[in-house]
Amino acid sequence: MTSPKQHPDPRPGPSDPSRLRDRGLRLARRLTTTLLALSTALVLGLSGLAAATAGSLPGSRNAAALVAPGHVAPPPAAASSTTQAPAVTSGAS
Amino acid sequence: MNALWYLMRGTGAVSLVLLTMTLALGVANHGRWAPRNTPRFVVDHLHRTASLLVVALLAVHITTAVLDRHVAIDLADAVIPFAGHYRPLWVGLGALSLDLLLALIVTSLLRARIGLRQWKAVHWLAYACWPVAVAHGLGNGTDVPHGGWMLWLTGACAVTVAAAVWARLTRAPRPAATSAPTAPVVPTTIHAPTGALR
Repeated sequence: MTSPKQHPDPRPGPSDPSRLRDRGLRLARRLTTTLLALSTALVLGLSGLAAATAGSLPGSRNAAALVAPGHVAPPPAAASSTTQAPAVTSGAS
Repeated sequence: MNALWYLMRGTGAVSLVLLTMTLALGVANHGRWAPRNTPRFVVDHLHRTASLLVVALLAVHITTAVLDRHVAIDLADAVIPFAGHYRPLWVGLGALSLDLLLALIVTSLLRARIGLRQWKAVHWLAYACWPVAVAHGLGNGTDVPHGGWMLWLTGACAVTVAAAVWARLTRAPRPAATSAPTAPVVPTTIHAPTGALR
């Protein structure tokens, strides 16, 4: 009766290709999640920044400087008539 | 509705940031660069994910621009360059940039059919897409002439691209033989369209 054969250590080494690939896959998933979260946060943050700085700059929308051909002026808040179309400016910027 | 306008500006700015990231990763990928102990397909994967995120954000950017009634931009203006009435040059550059990006994505999706050489030729358009998008942002940004945050953001993006191109030109590419042994293995579970914007 022969004694059981000694097998080499089945654990892969640090440079094992499959281990490296698995680690890469995990990293890729983590990076994808992080990128999605960061992008969402950045969109919300920059939209808020745009809103916060809108009134303070002379060229901003709230300063009513967006006058260009094709620019549609928003209807006045007090206007209750639904038949009145918004005025379209025809002047140059 | 003002929220649409602000969301349009936010998505436009983040699209530029992600487009910059895509370009920088593409430049790095061309030089077979990857961080130490990281397989190169991770860089490739991030490049693809960022490019697809750009498309998603541009869809929101265009939708909000069309829905916002403060300026008269319709869907055709967003797709056909220089056809609109509102700031035709700057909006037209945005439309041109979108068309270039769509060409890049479609050819990447059809890469196996059209062949590597044709795909590569079209992929060089990426280098034209980015400055056109930058010009669109600078020309349309209402606070840019007054040194607003968009100007600083664009400057940071320009520095990033310049650094990536400089690194690419000054460093020798990693030999193909020493690239990660698992490079051809691309997981299908973590990115949707295989082969997009490699």
